[in-house]
Amino acid sequence: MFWERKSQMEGCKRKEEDCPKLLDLITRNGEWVINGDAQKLHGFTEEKKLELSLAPPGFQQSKQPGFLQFPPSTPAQNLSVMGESSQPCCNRAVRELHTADQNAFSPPPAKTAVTNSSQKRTAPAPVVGWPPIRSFRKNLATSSSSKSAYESENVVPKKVSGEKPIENERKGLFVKINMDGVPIGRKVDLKAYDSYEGLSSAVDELFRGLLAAQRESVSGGNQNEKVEEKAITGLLDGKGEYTLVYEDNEGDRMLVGDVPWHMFVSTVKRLRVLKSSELPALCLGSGKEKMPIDNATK
Amino acid sequence: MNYFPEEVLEHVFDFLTSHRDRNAVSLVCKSWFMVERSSRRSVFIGNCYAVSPDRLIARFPRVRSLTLKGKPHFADFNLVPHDWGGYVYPWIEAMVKSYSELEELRLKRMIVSDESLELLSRSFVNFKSLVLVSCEGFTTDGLAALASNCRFLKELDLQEIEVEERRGQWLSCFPDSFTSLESLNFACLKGEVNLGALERLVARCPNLKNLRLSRAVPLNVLQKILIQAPQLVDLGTGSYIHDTDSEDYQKMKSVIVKCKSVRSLSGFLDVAPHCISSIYPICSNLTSLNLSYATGINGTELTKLILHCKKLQRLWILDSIGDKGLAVVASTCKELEELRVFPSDPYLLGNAAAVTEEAVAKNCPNFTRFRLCILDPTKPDAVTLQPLDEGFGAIVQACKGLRRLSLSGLLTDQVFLYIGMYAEQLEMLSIAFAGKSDKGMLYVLNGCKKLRKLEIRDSPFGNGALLRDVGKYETMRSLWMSSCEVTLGGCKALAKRMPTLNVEVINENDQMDDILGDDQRVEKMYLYRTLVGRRIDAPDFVWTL
Repeated sequence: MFWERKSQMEGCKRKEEDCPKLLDLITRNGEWVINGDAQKLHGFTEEKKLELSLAPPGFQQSKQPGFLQFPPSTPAQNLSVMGESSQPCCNRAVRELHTADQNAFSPPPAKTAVTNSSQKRTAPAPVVGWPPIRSFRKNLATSSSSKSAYESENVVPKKVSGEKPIENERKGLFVKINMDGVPIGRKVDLKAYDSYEGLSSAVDELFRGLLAAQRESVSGGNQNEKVEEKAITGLLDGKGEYTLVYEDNEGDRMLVGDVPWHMFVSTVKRLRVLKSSELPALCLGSGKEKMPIDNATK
Repeated sequence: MNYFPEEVLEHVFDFLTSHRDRNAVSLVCKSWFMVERSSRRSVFIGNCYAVSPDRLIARFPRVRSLTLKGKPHFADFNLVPHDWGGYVYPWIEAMVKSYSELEELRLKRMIVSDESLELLSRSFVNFKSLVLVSCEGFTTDGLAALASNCRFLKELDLQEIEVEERRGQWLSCFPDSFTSLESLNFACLKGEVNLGALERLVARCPNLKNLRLSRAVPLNVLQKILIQAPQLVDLGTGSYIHDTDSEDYQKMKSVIVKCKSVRSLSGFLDVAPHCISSIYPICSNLTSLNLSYATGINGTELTKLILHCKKLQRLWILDSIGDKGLAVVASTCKELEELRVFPSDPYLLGNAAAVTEEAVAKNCPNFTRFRLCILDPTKPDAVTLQPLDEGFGAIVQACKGLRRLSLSGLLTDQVFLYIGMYAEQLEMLSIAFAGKSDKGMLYVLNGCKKLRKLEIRDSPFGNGALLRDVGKYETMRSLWMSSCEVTLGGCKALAKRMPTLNVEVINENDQMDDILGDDQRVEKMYLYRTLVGRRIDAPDFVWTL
């Protein structure tokens, strides 16, 4: 598919001048090329696979004809950015590119002659407001399916069978868990527990040794003084040295223990063990660390 | 009929429920106008900027129910800035003084602030029903005000709204003496719910018929609620997750069986495949099923569920059901009138069921709405690799009662020729990435006599089409054109010739100082007929020409 450059560019001159170019786009014969198929024609596929990127493996990267190119970002960010509006045109082009990175649009490969000769206005691969799905529904879709995206790290489009990505009931539900002061994270299978108490003791088991080892190395690794492994307790009631918090499917940081266990399991994305002393300083609740947009309401 | 006393006329007019009928009646003669006007209880305003609150009140002095729509439809897809307009506050403020008997307010795509809700709740003693669809601008504090102050509230229906969550439990603001609730839909809320307050509310409202819960309401609470309210007709579950053989599951099954009145089922905002079988006992009674949010159910389970729902008239479902599943729908649901298939992941291609348009046209001539979204907006027919003109042409030719149509895929001017020729009842048309020249748009404007709303994006229609028949726009509610070939000069010319239209150019560029030349393309234009001239609340980036 060839980009109808002329009609777009004339009207969008201002956009092109104002927006910063981070990377040069490679134009082929003066024509903008969108899809992966065309890239194959020019032997760029292999190169693409070797490029460093932040996107999960398997994402097709389409070169975006236009003004900007940013390194691809994580799906949740892309999708949440899509929800924005009332931005200057420059940011809108950015948004279009963000979504380009993980958009699987594949325009018809061979019949470019047809489209070309009819001089139709051809669409850029991802566009603001396309497909026409209400933002509310989009956000819902991303919030419930992004959990599986995080767990599996594999968001290659599923096949025709219509199977949903993760069957939580049959496989384990592994979430990352990090602890303050311990540089290495662990993963814990939430399906293995049916209560907060079970999780709490699992956390204790996971990190007790690591924490002790960390303290030992901090204290100079003096082999004569072995740091005693201390049990990690009080994770749920705020009374311990550490407290268990989690990030839910909306990117908010929440205290573990408020909601029924199965509701927690269905919304948790990752866990953290924080020092209780640092809790008041943190913004719990609507942290909005991942979502750059503000609420739709004003 | 002039010698009938007014009371008789009024009584006769009472039987007219449709707005259009009553509008027609008021045109017959002066006395009919007067009688109709003073007995009109319900008014529908499709574009809140077509009239003003004062004119409404002057025209209809004793209204009890008002429906207002604000932003253009494409606002749903983020094409309209949030603060473009559509504020309800001035309407409520005006009605406070004049409509003491206001009972019902229905708003779509409007900005509703907490102050508006507060004012509403305190000002109308008999207020009974609030329905908000795709609105924004309020928090749970506004809901708390409604709960606290509307003593006779029957209906609170929130659809697809991002409500900002505040502390303070709005559900517990319904006083203990409050028992009038009949319909409550808070499925779109994301925050915590005071479950105890919810249970108590349900228990003391014996007339509760519709209840749609949010995700925060877990299965065990749903089950307790159903025990209290087996009379429910419309149920939206919140979270519907349990472990396979848990006590909750068994209890749920036994409770569900008693809910013999449920005809409409929705929700399943959190669900897993094995949970669905507990629903089977009530499926045979269902006429309406909305599983469009149930991303946790896979195609196989969806299909199994459908097999139990023989009486469905309306089905909203995710495309994960697949072609085979849709075939099961077709063979099981013989009374189906409405089918909506939503993408389970809008960014994936290829899972959407394939529909042959010509087969649809042949077999479903009674369609009143046909909206097909092909995810790649310029994709030709997969088999013939030709544009989709013929397919949509077949639709408009066969579906003689078609009122609403949305186009997608590769389309030339030809499809618009067909639409202009055959779509005689068409009222709303949505066009995206379609057409070759001005002719396309002209075919539609000339041909579709009943056209009320036309929205176009990314199509090569320009000033020639826009300006050919300017009188047409006075017969329509509105026209939206974005990323087309229309220029500022063209819009100015139109505005000059048609003072009864508001021609708005939405210019979101930062550089407002850069004067847009007359020959430069306009990114977004929205025009609509109006009785009250340019609006006073337009933000900086909206220029009314």
